[in-house]
Amino acid sequence: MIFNSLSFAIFLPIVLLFYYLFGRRYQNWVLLIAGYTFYGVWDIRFLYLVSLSTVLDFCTGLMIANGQMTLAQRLAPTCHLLGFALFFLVPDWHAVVFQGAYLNNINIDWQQLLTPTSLGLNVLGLSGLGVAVANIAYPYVLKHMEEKTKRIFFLRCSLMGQLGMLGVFKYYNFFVAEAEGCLKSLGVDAPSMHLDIILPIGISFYTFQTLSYVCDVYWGKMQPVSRLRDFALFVSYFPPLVAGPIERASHLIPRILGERRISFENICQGAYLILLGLVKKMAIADGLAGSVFSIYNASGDVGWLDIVTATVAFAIQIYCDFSGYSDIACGVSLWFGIELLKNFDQPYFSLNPSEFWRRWHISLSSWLRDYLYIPLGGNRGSEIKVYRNLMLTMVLGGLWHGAAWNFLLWGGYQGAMLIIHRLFVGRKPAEFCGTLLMRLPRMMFFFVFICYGWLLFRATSFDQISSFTQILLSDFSNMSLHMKIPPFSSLLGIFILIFVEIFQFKRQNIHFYTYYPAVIHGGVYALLIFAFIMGLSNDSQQFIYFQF
Amino acid sequence: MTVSNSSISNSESDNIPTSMLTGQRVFVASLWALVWLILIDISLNIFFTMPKSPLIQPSKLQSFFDYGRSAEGKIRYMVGRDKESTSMVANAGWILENEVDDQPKMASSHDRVLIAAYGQSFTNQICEALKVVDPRFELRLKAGPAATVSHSYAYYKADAKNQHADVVVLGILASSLIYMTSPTTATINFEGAAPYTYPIYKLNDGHISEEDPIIHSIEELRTALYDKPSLWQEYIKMLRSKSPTYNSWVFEKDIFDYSALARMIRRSIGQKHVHDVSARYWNANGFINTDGILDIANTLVADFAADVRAKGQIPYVLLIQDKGYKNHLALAFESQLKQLDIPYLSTHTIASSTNPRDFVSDGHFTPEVTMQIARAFHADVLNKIKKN
Repeated sequence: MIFNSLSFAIFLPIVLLFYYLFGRRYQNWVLLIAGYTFYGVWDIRFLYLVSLSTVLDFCTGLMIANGQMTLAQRLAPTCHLLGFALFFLVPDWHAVVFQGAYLNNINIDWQQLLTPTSLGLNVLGLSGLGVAVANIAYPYVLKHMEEKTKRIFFLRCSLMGQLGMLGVFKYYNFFVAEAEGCLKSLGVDAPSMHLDIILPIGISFYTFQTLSYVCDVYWGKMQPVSRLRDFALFVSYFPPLVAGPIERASHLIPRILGERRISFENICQGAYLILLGLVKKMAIADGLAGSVFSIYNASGDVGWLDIVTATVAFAIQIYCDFSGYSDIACGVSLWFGIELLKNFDQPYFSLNPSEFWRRWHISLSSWLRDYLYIPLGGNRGSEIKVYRNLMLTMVLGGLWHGAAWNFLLWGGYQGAMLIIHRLFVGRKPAEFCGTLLMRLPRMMFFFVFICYGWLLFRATSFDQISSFTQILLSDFSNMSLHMKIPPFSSLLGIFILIFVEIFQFKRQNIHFYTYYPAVIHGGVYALLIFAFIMGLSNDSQQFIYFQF
Repeated sequence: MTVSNSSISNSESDNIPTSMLTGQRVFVASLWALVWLILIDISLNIFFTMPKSPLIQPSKLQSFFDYGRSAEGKIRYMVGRDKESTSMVANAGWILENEVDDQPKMASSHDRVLIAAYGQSFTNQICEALKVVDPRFELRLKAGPAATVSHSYAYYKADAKNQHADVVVLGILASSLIYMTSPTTATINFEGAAPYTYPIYKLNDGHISEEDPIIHSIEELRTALYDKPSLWQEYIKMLRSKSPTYNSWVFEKDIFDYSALARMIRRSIGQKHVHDVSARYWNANGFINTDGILDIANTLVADFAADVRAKGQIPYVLLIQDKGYKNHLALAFESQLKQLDIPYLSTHTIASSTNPRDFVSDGHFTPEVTMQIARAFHADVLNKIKKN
């Protein structure tokens, strides 16, 4: 279920209705069920992975902080994990087929549905074994392990479990294929170890989210969650579930556990963010997708102008696609009275790489800063060590995006930019305080470097990176433009967005329109609604960051 | 990465004074938004309205804001009360058995070759390029805008007795194949609706049967639109019952046609309809035999070839893979074409459908690519003529 779909437009009001109808006591149940429904619509089997992730970090969090779990705290995860395996993996859910223009007809082949799948039975068996071993080993751990050893042991369990899942589902095939390629080039004919698995949607997002919880508990920054259902909601809270913002446990859990106030302001601000996000996604990003595709996925030769325009178009597309998702997620969440982390802060207004990473995908960059860069040593130590930390952090940040060499290259490029910037301006760069007009030349200069990064990110192969770079640097002979012209809705949407961003920047407030008289305030709404209506007819594309 | 201790929460930087988003203020702003939207709608309807006469070419923006008009609305606009006030597109593509035209019926001399081609603009362009490659070729071209294979087949059948060509070409366009599920392209291609009709072919025990499209000519259409509403209603009723790709929201004229914003909403519904319809018959791996379209299309091609051969002519099939369709027509037709030894040319062997440089902005092949295809076509046709 994607935010810009009819099914979500039906799903959200139903969830809101139940949410507002029920009192505070049951609201978390509504959100939990909604989260599992939202995620299960993609592939119901992956709910088991969400369950595994939830159970693993719920238990490790408690063991790290308290060193023990109550019977209820052990029973709940046991039932959760086995129940999810039994219900979501054992039946053959392919027997349920949604048909009709609006998926309004459901065909169920009951015989097929109730025939257990071998995968489901195997996973159920392994889960049962795992749960049994954990419960049998529990008294031993309690009795024989020292407090400090226990904390480290369970931290490692969590890290190995979470990163192991991520590794298997996201990176295994990539590294195996590369290793096979290497062996083949050496003349060794290795048997194929490729696994026939698909990448669970949003796995990187919820894995990083739960890792932040375990780390914070380990560092004593927060208390563990004592009830599984609260922790399950933290993992499966649906607005940021599949494409962020990557929520921090210390930020989201208090909002899940605490009182929530849904004000009229929240609703209005939420509505504006949803509208802005839809315009960014549907009018701009979806419209530009075809133009970018026409160059980056072209089979023939492309010229200098094609590459430049397609790369600039991709820079706008990826920003609107990803920040559009974040805006909608934040807006929807505000309707539940839960404020999410800010994920974007006008990144293309940046003047240097350091500022860019404070404005782009903030929830990831701050995660990497807090859980990777600083533990690696951060800014402490010699300059060489700082450069190493920067490079390592950014390369791993690149790898987070996907198992492909171009993401690693993109991470390395970002790391190199940060290092070079640091070399030039030193440890504490002075903030630029000029007006927007004065910033503009520097913004545009740095935008060129951002765009080259996007070329690395979007490229479909090494050969393409190499040929595009060569054309950009030395082949100015072909200046004809063959890129598919973006639809009018995208061009108008970009025009409106530039104005919105300028005013937002000047006011340093995403809700800048509130500073103006109602006639202008209403005009902003009207322009966005107009752009949204125009964007409705663009071909709907999946959010780019879903693949990560 | 620079370590920053600044808060990453919305709450600090984006806090709005409570007084700024009061109910009254939002209500007034919403009313203003409504006023602005009405003004935008009226302005678009004034400044970007379509030209009064369908004979005048509209600007790109005029066309853009009119794409969402219903197919019926578009047809009513382009078909005037008389021939003089009817657009060229509305007159194109009608299949007439005894069409009066000045196209050659047979080769003008024994050293000339007459090609009769049934297809669409792509087919016409390739044939015209063929004539440039070799002026000995003469052309008899019958086409419809974005015509599908059933239109081309029906046109051939209607025209067969009028021509004695040496080579008879059937042009199949990848993006038009799905139109064969309807007696008009307007049920799917509603943005570029053309009113011409053709039969829907079906297979009954391996034999072709056809559904009559009810309206057969521009004159009949004019009558249905202006003088005999019952005929138009009958036509709509037939589309509703016989075409699996019919959608009343997209096709039938209603109040949405009068508002620019509402038209854009209809356009989005239309796009979704087109997307859903396409997905039923085609995906990234090729065409899908939903409703038996591939069986029917292959039967039409086989029947066409048999009929042409029975007249002593050479059948030729042009598989035109336009933008994005890779080799999908070849996948759908090649095995039968080879089996029945029907000469054919698939454009994907010459021009990649994923190379944007092979196409001009309206989706047709560039003149250079068209010429390359024509050269390959020429070499193959000459070869077949020699063999014959």
